Amino acid sequence: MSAALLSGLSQALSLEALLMTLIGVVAGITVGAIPGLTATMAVAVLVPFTFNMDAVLGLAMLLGIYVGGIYGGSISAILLRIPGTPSSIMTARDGYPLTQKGEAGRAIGISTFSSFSGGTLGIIALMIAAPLITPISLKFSAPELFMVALWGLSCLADVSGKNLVIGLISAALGILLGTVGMDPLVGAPRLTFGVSELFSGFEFVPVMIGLLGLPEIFRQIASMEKTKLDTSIIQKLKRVIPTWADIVRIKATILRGTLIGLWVGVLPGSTGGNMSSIMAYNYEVKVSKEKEKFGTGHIEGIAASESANNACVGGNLIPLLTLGIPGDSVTAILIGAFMIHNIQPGPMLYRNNPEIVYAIYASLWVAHLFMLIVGLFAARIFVRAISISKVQLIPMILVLMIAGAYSVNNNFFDVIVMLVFGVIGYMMENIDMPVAPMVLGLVLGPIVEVNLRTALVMSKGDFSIFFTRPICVAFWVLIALTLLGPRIADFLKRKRMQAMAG
Amino acid sequence: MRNISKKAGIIIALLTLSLIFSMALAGCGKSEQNKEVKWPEKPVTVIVPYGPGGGADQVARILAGIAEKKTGVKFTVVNKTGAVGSTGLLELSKANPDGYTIGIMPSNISTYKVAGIAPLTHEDFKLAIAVNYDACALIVRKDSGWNTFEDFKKAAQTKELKVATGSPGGLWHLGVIELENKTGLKFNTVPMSTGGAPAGVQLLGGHVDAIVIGPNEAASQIKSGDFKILAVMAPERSENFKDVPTFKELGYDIDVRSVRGIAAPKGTPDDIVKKIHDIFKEAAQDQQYKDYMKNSLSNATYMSTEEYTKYAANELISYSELMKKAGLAKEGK
Repeated sequence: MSAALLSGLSQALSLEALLMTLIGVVAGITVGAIPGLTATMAVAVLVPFTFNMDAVLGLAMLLGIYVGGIYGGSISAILLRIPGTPSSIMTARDGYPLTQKGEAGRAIGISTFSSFSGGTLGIIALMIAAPLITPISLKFSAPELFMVALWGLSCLADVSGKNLVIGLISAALGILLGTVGMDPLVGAPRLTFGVSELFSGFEFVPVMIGLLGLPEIFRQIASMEKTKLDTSIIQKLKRVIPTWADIVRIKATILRGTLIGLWVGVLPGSTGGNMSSIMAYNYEVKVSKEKEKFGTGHIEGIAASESANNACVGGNLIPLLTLGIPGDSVTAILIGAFMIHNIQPGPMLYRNNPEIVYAIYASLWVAHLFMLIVGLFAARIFVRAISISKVQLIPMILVLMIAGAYSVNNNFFDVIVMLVFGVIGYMMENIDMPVAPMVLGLVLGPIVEVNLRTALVMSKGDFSIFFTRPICVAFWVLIALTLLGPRIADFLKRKRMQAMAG
Repeated sequence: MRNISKKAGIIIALLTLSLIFSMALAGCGKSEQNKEVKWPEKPVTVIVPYGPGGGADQVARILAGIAEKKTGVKFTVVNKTGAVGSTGLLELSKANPDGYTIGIMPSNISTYKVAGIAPLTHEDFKLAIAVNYDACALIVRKDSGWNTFEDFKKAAQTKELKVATGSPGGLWHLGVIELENKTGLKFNTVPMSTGGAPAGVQLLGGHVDAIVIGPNEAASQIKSGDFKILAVMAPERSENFKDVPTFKELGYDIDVRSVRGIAAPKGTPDDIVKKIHDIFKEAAQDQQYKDYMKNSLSNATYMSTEEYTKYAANELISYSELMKKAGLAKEGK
């Protein structure tokens, strides 16, 4: 056992392996920061380069890209309000307002620190608890996953903005958009109007870039005539490393984000990073005493989202290593990379190649450490990038966005999708309809639908399947607490006040 | 002021670099028009109609890598996803037929037309060579108490069993339908919208009684002995599990396989198709490819241009019939 540990560590901490991890992290951050280029894509493209490498070296590089890619998305989310990857959707909500206040450096510092902490805690969980968590995660079949996603939806109201009804309309539209494409159980096309490009539904990344990123670009162009052309916001850059006060403020948030991110990562069939950060953010709003501050540059928002999506990396690796089953699209590619090096992830891995397991743990943590260093170091460069004149900046961002939307499927249709959703997003903002609930509906809606219907196929149409399974019942209680809890608390408080007044 | 513009210059350079990087990732390596008898003389684009990381993608990337080494010419793998694979294949069918745009051909090609997904069949392409197949397998848990298909059949006759499978209308799903057709059994079939591997999770968690998917999608559990295969839907036993019988041996004429090959657009000249065939035949002989197939519990195979074309024609007929029987066919077509 200890021989395997030493062998694994020495392989993962060799100079070559460290260099590969560093290359992976830098490449991952770069790719992640560019809207439309995701960690999945970067890992897939670079897998063939690792074919001829030593197994541990190859895995070190791929894990570096994975970790860097998930983190990199937060940089463009904070600086431009365009999430570089879907897992940073929620980071933009509080990161961008901070940039507008000239505190982009602080925002990136918080995001980097939270990603690092979430990731590290995730790895610790992976190391200690993987064999314990695995059997529980297997208990989650379609009915349970339906309940998880339903719980996610039940938190929607809190991110709906000032007007609850308009927020919910936005969410409902998102859910409706999520039904476009092939029916997940029967395979018949729905709401495609004969457009064959829509058969697989709206590609999420172009919709996300369009809805969240483009309206901001439009708004800036529209306001250009009124203001001077060179009015970029002056950014405070003295300090990127988070202050002790900030760290103390977000420590509980990071812990909650980590737990949610980890668990979403472990669950089979969830969509990994983006769902984990959405759930963590919503939950954070739910438990916060300063709900109204979220969306205005509240650092807890960044911390929740970023700690969750990096904790999700460790979570995703649990089913990959213990069962050989991928938790998200990146780990699906990693399985292929394992196979090429004659390593079979799964129960046999711990028995046959324990040194590989330890090497993976070590590489993963080293990748997070490099991410922390590179992220804090590069923050200044990135922040300066947005300090140039808008006349130069906006066209460059647009080109990047279009290239990004195109590169998801190498399909021009996705560029059109992005532009159309950009216009929709701009109009929605002009009528004060928040776009965030729509994006959340689009992510969670399909998960709810697929699992609801799969569960009903299993039970042959009997709804009692959602009430007879213990985990489902637990989630009903959780949902009831989420929805009614604050109201009951309010009611009791008022009662007590009345009693005291009376 | 000068300082700022210098910084801006650096930043523009950085952004431009990242743009170039993104373009390189996007793989904008489309070949120009140039008809030559010699092939390949310039980079070849290999279209994969599915996302990165899947089986088709892995096969393409390994073979492209080997072909690159053998020819000294770049084989760029491009993922063109959408509409259950038909988007990429539609693009391949319309590409310049000069051999510089080729693609991975999945068995799904035989389902598009009848399902109303895309007006595409194998006739829109020139099939050069088949390189790999995965046969549907009936898989149960180690502790199920069923050791043979007969055991399973007896249990299925007394009570309706839950059988999970891959995406609806996909190959693994057709396997379940064919199994029902040929054996007269009736299952509560649970198709998993996200593919075969999630069906394996359902079996592992004890939520279903059996699964019908390719063994490659549950390799880990099959290797560890948590799952056992009762029978496979191939004409002959797989090299990977020599003691697992085929359904044919058991007296049921079932052959449902997902065959992958290399195809070119319809008008590609025969001598270039032959060159494609030769290079990929050589690549598929490579030990790296064979090892990968063995490790992932998939099967390396070989069908010549003629054999593959004939196979695809038969496959189109049999899968169309299956789809119609299962009610998955679009009406009026």
